[in-house]
Amino acid sequence: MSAATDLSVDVGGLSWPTPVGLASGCCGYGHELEDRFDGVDLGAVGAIFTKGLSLEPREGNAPEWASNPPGRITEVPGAMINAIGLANPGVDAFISDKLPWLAQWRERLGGRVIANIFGESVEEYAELARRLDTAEGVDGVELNLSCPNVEKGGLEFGQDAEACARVTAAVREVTGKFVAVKLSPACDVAALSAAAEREGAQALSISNTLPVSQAALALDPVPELPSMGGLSGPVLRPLALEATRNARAACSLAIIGIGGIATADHAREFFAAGACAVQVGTALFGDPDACAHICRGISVPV
Amino acid sequence: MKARRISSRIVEIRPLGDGLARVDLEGPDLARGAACGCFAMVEVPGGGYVLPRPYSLFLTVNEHRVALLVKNMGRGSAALLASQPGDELAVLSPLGNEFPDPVGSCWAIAGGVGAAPFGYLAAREGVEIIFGAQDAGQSGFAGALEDVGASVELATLDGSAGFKGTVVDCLLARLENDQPDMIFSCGPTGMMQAVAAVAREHGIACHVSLEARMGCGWGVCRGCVHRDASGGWRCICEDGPVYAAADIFAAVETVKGAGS
Ligand SMILES: Cc1cc2nc3c(=O)[nH]c(=O)nc-3n(C[C@H](O)[C@H](O)[C@H](O)COP(=O)(O)OP(=O)(O)OC[C@H]3O[C@@H](n4cnc5c(N)ncnc54)[C@H](O)[C@@H]3O)c2cc1C
Ligand SMILES: Cc1cc2nc3c(=O)[nH]c(=O)nc-3n(C[C@H](O)[C@H](O)[C@H](O)COP(=O)(O)O)c2cc1C
Ligand code: FES
Repeated sequence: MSAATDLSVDVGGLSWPTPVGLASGCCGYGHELEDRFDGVDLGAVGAIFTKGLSLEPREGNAPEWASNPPGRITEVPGAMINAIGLANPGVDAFISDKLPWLAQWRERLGGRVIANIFGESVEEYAELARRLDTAEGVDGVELNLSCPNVEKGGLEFGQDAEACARVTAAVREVTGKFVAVKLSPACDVAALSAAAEREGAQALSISNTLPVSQAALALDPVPELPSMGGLSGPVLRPLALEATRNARAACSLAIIGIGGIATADHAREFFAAGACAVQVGTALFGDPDACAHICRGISVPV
Repeated sequence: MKARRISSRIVEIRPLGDGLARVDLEGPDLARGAACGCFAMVEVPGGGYVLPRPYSLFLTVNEHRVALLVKNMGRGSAALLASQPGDELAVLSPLGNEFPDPVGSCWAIAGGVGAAPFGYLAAREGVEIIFGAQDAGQSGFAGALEDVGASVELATLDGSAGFKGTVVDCLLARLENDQPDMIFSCGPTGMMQAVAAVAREHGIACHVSLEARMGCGWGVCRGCVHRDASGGWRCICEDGPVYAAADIFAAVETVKGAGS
């Protein structure tokens, strides 16, 4: 970013150099932007949200649903659907192999490093947060509540305000760092927002992908589509905006808007709905320098 | 070589019959780092599309201009083929690794859109391309390769042009009289497995270029996974798409593939 405009913003007590972050699962562990590209402005990135981390490494889903050719991703009109299955090297390998690059980026350019985490029990979330609490270079955690709650027979933590409260409280107890709770666009946003606020979270990330089935999309059955997957991209934007408004009305936490953001105008829509910062996900795939493009747009008054 | 996001435009679309075309793109230093096997993530022109699409680089026309070979496979490729000279699109390029430099004689076994990478070897001494297609109507990419100086043997399943049979049949027939130092292959996975099995039996070094549905093309979405020979998963945009066949196809798998 040019030094001309100060875009820094306070997000739940954490200052970001710009209000535009990179969404979990869409930016790897940050270093890919530097390793693979010339000309990506890493100073325009306000915060990096890592790919979701679990206690143990995970391979992710078999790509069998798209057997010709294989894959875990497909595009439908106005959106993409992924069924990655939270593939990640595990929190310990993250800390030893991935964090050093993030820590030096944070030191060099002032951007924030937030570890996105998920578990299948309250204890797993707490253990992840505990290990990351002592990891130098991590500013905080973002709780992905979209994992099935095994204790509750598979219902997602993110569908149940009580479960959300228990996870948030357990994480709060083991870390003094920043905690954001990431919500599904298809949940009782008001109830979960209030629960997250009550249990001491600093921010809400709104939203995650929308769980969809082929049937819900009312498409002719396409063999390459997964039966279930997460929908992201342009179609998600109005849903995430609506969820942002609902959360704004229900609590006073900082809100990070996410969903189909590709331009400065999209970011402004989320600011108008009550968010103070945003994350870019799917749009990064075709535009790895999206943060800089969006920052340039929002530094110009409308 | 690191990739860049390059604002480019369509300069020419040359139809090659049956939903096939050579598409020429131009952008500042667009050809920088282009090589046999690497690919570009190409925005679908016209707006309204979410993901860029992966395309092998076919040819460097000059430093600012490259060509692709494009087949109509669905919404995105159809829109690309329907675009007009002058239409703008962003291109991430070059991505992925390259085929090794061919030493001695090299046969490049291509099926369908797998012809594209071999434009870069067309004029190379010692390289012959064996291209397989459904029928004569689907053989347009063979013509595109010949146009840039390649020696191409065509195989069609129905025998409507060239050798009658699969590229693998054609390869086996040729191996009765001759043997190359290297085999490269790009095309449907089953075809490449069969080619790799034949190469293994004949003790010929073999490299293949894999395909997968891609989200990003640069290692962050974890969408483009493929099993390797030891059962692990690789993201082919990260350490591929070109692999030594023995690293990616388990021996038992390749033998099975040879029979099918
Ligand atoms: C490294 C790499 C290099 C490639 N090089 C070329 C090339 O040089 N020329 C060319 O014509 N095509 C190439 N492809 C395939 C091309 O990317 C797909 O045909 C294209 O993405 C289909 O997009 P679509 O929107 O038209 O299809 P969609 O509407 O998304 O799908 C239609 C059909 O296309 C097939 N398809 C979808 N994605 C892919 C994919 N990534 N690879 C193969 N098939 C796919 C599926 O089988 C599906 O049935 C390459 C793919 C990869 C991974
Ligand atoms: C391929 C892919 C992988 C993702 N992985 C994660 C993840 O591991 N954890 C998480 O909380 N969200 C994950 N997400 C959701 C994104 O962070 C984001 O919330 C969502 O995609 C909506 O934003 P977008 O429309 O800008 O992509 C993933 C999204 C995509 C497309
Ligand atoms: S296409 Fe995204 S990791 Fe390979």
